[in-house]
Amino acid sequence: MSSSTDSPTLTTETTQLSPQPDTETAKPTKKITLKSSDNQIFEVEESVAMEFATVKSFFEDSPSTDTVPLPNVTAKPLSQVIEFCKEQIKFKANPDEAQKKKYNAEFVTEKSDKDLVDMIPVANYLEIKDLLDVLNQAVADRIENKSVEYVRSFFGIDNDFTAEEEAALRREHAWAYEGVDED
Amino acid sequence: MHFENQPHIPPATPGVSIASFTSMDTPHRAKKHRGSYNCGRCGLPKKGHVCHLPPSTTTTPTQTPTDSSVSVSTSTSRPPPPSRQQHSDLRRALSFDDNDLRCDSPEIEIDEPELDMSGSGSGKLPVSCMWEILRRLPPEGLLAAARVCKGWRETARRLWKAAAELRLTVPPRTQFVFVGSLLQKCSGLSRLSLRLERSGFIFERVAFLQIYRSMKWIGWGLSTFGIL
Repeated sequence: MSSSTDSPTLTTETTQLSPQPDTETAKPTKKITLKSSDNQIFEVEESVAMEFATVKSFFEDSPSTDTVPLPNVTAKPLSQVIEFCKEQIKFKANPDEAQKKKYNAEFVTEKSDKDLVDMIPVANYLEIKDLLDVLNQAVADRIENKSVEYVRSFFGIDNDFTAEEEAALRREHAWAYEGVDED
Repeated sequence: MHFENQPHIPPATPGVSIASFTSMDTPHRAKKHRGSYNCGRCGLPKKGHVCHLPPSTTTTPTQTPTDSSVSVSTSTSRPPPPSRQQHSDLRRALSFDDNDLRCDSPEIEIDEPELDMSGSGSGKLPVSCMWEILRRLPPEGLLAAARVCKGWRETARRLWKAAAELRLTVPPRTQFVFVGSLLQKCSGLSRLSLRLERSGFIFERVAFLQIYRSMKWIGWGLSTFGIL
């Protein structure tokens, strides 16, 4: 059985086993502090904060600061936005379009209407394009085929039309469908 | 007729008449009975697609950058057309497919350099966000959105105006005044694909007459239709 098998492979081991130098892992990921308008502090990794184009340019302008104030952003939507961006970082490092799509879909479906609407201006202010696309599409999907009143309450919009204007608009809108039911 | 689950424009179905017009296009193009569903630049399907390739200018005979409206030209001998963009340059496309109010993904690709996006719109939304949301709505949604408030009405108006391409499926029993009135909102339109889900000579004549009236209104000629 063991006639000719044992010659060349056994020689190479033994040299590579020294412990790896620790320098690579020792570098800590830099944290950046974000401060919401309601004075909540969020500490996020630099890579996450750099997803926010607004924060990124803030740092480019004044690299010495350690806290970025976000006067237009309240804590709740900000925390959700951060959550989203953390996931996107993972997908960047490890691209998986299907997973990403799935995550994005789940991210919006589990949010309330108000959460979505609150996040849009935040994503817009922070200039997070991917999130903005996801949010806008989600909102459009939710108001599609809904009544005007529903849409108003969805966004918290006040009706600023006069009664006359509204009647005129309703007429204008009505003819679009008047051919559908008749005949 | 039921077209709910059919693709945008099925190949020559009996009982369905299809017209495709391209403003200022060469007459032989008008014989092509449907618009292209693929991006003129990169060839990917247009649905939900934002092209990243730069617009090609090779197919445009004379490129006039002005956005002035196309003059009505019904004469047969036209000078080299004061070309708007040809379809390969259509960055703005509004797909209108209103079967059963179930337009799954209308697309409008629009350059909006002239819009002031900085202001804050109605409610809490910035204007640019409102624009992005409304442009994702199906055409009926966009019509209805104009009733929400003045800010939305203005944004919807601009969206109609900015749409350069309209692909329209007219379901049975829709009055054509609807189409005509819709077209009047779309003053930036340079390409229109129209599919009528019924046939009948008299009917079509009436339909085209009504549409023609609105086309004249927005400054289109009929000479390139090739279908009448």
